[in-house]
Amino acid sequence: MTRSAPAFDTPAGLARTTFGSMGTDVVVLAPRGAVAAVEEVRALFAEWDLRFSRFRLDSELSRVNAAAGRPVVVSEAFAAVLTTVLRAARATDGLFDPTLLAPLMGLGYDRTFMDLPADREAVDADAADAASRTGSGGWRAIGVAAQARLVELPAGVGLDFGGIAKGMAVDAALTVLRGRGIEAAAVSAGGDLAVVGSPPGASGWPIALETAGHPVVVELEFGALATSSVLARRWRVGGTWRHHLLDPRTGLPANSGLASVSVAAATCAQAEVAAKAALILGPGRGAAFLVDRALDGLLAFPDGSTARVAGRAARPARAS
Amino acid sequence: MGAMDDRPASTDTARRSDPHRRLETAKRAIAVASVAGFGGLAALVSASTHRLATSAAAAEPVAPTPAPQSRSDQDDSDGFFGGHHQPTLFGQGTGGSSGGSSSTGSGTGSSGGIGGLNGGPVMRSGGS
Repeated sequence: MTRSAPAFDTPAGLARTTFGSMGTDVVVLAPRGAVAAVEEVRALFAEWDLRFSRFRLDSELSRVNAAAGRPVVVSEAFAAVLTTVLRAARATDGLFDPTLLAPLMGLGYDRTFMDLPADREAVDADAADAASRTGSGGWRAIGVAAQARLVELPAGVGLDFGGIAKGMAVDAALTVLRGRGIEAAAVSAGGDLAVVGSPPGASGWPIALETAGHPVVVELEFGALATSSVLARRWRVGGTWRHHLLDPRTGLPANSGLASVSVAAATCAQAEVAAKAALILGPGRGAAFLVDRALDGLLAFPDGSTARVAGRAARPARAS
Repeated sequence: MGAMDDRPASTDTARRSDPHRRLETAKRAIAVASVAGFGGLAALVSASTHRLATSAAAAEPVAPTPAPQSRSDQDDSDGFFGGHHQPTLFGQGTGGSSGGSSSTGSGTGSSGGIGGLNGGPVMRSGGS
């Protein structure tokens, strides 16, 4: 189903297509007439949703989670994604942790966000506390024999690919569009986006970075942008606000002093992982994390102010 | 059937009983199992290696363990963030503001700092 277009400019010569997939809105900006390519992107997202959704009992991810404790044969695509996910976990020393399914469920995020009541009754505090200590760091013990497409999760550990799956789907969609000879296009999945080329007559893609205050508009010339935010996917349990970005060191929603972090990187998967790691680390260490990796980003604070991180070139100077 | 092993039995036996040689073999097996991540196999081989290492240690001084790499070296040891030309967001233009006063709700939200913007934003990046 195609939904109504949001209130953003559509560059001349391009068409905007919006559809729901992977629990969010997917937006494709592509040249008018590139209908077949856009439909291929739509099919790609449908396939990724079927394979990697933790909310679908028929997904491959659900099948792998159900088999925790014993080896299971997976598809080539699943093995490839899991291998990348584990690389991301290693590269962030576990700040990006794909094995926080139990704590997320314990905190009440046990169904699609669309189906999640805004205010849930209090969950069993002891059970939630136990869940917060379950699974975190479990990625270190996951067995992957990629060539044999064999995966073994430790017993009691469940995978939740979350944002990185959306980011990788965006990257895969860009590959599809490039393969079709598309010279200017942008694909976004819930605000994690990547671009190829530039809109006709422009040097880049103006993107509104959402913050706790006013959006900050930047121009992305190539690559990808992703934002991790504690302001989205929030719900209340017994009167306490929760959000979906967990700090793997505590198993609880991150509370680092940042409202959101936006990061530009070569790929959407990189941007997504870096944004999440920086958000969990907080302003100082988060900025250092980005600078160490020569990544540009925007740190947004709960009071609406922001600080820019310009890769290795600059330390963030908080603006208000 | 494969080719007959024409080595003297005593030599082959000596190879198998050499604790240093067996230790190296076990270490290689551990590396494979650890990379693959299959915990049970790694633990099994690890226990075997511990016994071998104990016997080998008596025959040879242990070399000092190299100092661990710095944290930053380890963080991205397999290059998840490397190998790409990263885009910039704030490398051009004049700086700009963060988007007005949050207390009053006013301001345009323009980032400045980026030259050549044509028209308004075409997409958002925010919490999904």
